Amino acid sequence: MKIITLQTICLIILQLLVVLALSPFINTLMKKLKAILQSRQGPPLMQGYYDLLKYFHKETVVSNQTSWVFLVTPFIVFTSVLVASLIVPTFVTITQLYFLGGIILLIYLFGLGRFFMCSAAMEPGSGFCGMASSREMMLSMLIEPVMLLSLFVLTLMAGSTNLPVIVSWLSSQGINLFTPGYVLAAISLLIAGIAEMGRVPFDNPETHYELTMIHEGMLLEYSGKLLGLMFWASWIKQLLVISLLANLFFPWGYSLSLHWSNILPAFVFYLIKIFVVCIVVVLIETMIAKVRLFRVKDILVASFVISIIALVISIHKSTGGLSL
Amino acid sequence: MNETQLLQFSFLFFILATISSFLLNNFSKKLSIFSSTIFGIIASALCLLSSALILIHRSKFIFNIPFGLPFGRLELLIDPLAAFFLMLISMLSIPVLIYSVGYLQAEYIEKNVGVLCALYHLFVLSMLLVVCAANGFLFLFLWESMTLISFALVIFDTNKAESKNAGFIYLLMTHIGSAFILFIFLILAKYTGSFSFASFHNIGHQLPGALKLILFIFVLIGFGTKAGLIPLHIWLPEAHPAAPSHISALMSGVMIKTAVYGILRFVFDFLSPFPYWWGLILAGISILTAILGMIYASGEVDIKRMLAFSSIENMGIILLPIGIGMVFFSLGQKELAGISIIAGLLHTINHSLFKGLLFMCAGSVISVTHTRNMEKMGGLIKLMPQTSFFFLIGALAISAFPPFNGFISEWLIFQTLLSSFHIHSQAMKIFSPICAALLGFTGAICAATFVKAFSGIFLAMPRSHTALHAHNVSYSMRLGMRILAFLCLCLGVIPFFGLTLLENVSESIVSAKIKSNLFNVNKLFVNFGPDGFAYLSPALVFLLMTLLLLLVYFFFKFNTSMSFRKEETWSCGVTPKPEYEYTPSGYSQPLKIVFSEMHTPESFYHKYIYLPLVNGLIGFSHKVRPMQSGILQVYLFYIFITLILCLVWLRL
Repeated sequence: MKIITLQTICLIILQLLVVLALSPFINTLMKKLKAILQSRQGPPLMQGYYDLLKYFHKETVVSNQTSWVFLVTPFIVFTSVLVASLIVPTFVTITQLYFLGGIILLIYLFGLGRFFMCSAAMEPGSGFCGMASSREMMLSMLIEPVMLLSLFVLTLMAGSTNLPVIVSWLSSQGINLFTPGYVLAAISLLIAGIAEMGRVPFDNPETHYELTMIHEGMLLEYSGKLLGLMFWASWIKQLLVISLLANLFFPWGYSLSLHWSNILPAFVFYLIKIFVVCIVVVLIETMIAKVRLFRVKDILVASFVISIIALVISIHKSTGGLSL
Repeated sequence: MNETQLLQFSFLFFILATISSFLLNNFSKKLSIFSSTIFGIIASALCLLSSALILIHRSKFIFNIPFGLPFGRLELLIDPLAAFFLMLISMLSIPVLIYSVGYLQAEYIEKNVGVLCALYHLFVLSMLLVVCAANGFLFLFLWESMTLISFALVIFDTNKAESKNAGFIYLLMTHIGSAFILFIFLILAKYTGSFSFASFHNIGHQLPGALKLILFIFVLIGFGTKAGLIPLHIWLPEAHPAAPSHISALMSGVMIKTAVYGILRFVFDFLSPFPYWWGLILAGISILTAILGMIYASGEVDIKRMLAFSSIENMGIILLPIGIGMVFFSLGQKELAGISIIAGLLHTINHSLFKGLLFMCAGSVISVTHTRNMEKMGGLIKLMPQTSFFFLIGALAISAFPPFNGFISEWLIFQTLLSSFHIHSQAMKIFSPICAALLGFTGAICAATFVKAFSGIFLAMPRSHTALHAHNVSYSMRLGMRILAFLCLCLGVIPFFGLTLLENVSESIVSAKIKSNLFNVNKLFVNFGPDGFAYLSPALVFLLMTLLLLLVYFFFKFNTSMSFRKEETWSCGVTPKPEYEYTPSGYSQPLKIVFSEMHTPESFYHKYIYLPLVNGLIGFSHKVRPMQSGILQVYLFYIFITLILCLVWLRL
């Protein structure tokens, strides 16, 4: 089995470039949409790129309590989301990167980044960073089982843990796709996805009050280039989750080959899909308030139960009736 | 020299190491440590080589010890399953011995260090022999000696009161376990008329179902005590911290794994065929053990207790796929059963590597800070850079993050759990994906616990005077840790070597060859399941990670200046102090709040399970006590009554 072909390398580079270029835009887009919904003007759509440019030209100040872990963390977080971006299907869902690993690798790559980010947040010895880090870990342990179980329901339907295979199976189902089991799994996945992105009602990316920050709180002691890298990584992660949701909820319109005539329409279609998901996320964010930290458990446990129901329904459906 | 001779030589060297370190103790303590290490390493290396050869050749040997006892011949059987555990024990023993050179000199040089070394070798030897024993009597004898020697090691620090208490609980619990194993042998021997394992083989065909179930429950209690399955785990968090750290590494790394051996041997070899719900029982207990063990670990501030609880969790993770494998086995899916057992055994190796590493790191930290309390540490990364790096690797491996070995085995366990859709059991189809999600849950708590431990011990500012005066540990200690850290990475990037050997083991257990279209391992890939169910390429993931990391780093290095200005941490305008830091117990507070229902303190088990048992026993004893009146005539009367009853029984 020959896997390191020119096409694979092209695909890797293409995927990385798209993810790197698109992620700041999507983040700004969500800010803009939210501002419009709140009758504000909002930032210009290029603001994400301006921010990155600014961060990379600023001086980096580092706490004198820190060691190499603090300096290495932004690079590891950034790399882990980049590798994760090769697993998530975007607009080219050819199964040539199937060999890397599936959903389990994806979840654990996110986990790797989180491990380092939370460790690094403890390093400056600041109370705010430590608080954010400990809360992030608490949230992650609630999110992870929900994320896994809702993806496992889709896995068991499609018969594979590899995301491109799942997406192509889902698309082959046509309109029959929308079974109750699938819809429930999708709802649960949406909840887990929003939590994973760290958005309202779980965490507020725009807060400026240290006691309520979770993700931003961990970055308090970062500045300059390192901060830029951390922000970029979190935007990429956000884009990946959005792409995942978009492709699992609407598994059509991706390109099957690396030919220009296929890629261009697929890319446009991909943009539309993620735009729709962004609108949904922003609508949810505008309509409901952030919940109290320890109430987050209730939402995620409910979501876990929804996944279990989805699992039972889909197995009931596939075998026709429950029996032992 | 063939495998058997190698093995015999290795046993001889272990005995030599024991005697030499014991005798040299009075002469020179350093010489004693030295001879113990040299002979021990030779012995372990010989054992490692021989077991690897046995695994590759899939050979099977039987030794007979010419020793006249009424319980049948004392025989040793070395099949691939035994050879796997021989390999596991000897593989961990080498780095532990290297580590112990520095550790013993730093910590135990004033004490009877030669005795400690001698006990160490006897301990390893008893573990090696227990997995080879092929006779019930011999097995029990070795099982008991393993327990007693490790008891002696646990209470080695005799000046500490907690050691004695821990040793007592350990002795008591393991003897309850041993009693149940004894019952199993007695019942089996009643049916076969022999204590030989060969006669127990597939005895399950002849036993009545109810008796088989009782035997299975006895297996669960007997070996579950050793494995630390909840609620039989209470000795583990007491005994492991009390022992010297290199012994803790060995106890956590391999001793509790003998329970895995016992369960595999008894269930698959003796009691099969069995109904599929036995597997569900084992898997259910295992996932419960994994979750609760990790939740308890997350609340600990004592570094070694935390690691002990995490061992409980990992035993749950190891036994989970074995339980699922039992389900597959009894439903006729022998190949899937084989893969599940591979997953369990791979995690057994991986756990012994990273847990050994973590206990060694803990030992290093404790030996320089003289405390086990993580609240009193902090900032050690600047004083012990290498130890902190190895601890980080161990923490990443145990939290199952790529590219380390824990990820590979957990990935395989996830896949075996998800492969349940191949079988026609609805219960299983619902049960195992939920188990998989819960496994992810324990993984996330594990990550939180180890972020807490790593940052609490090594990062930020020192929170006590002792942590301020920590220093680097000796070269041999660092070398021992380095070997294990390297192995953790190796097995995470190229799991190929481990997995191919394990295929031989699982084939011998389930007696079915795993087809390559179902499970295919080569240097780059692990492929699981038909029709591309799951692929993983640990080597490519590692390669991509390194490549991208270097790319991003050099992109930054050449495009912008990488100079940093060092400033104080911002603490709302006051000078940062260690007291402002988040402590380990503060870190786990949100967890405790969220899992307040599950986060029962240790006394829960004492209060609701053990105390009623003990009280019942004492109450019963009090009731029986009036019989012992101390009057001679009453005793004569008892004898008389007994005699009459005996005569009556004989007549009938």
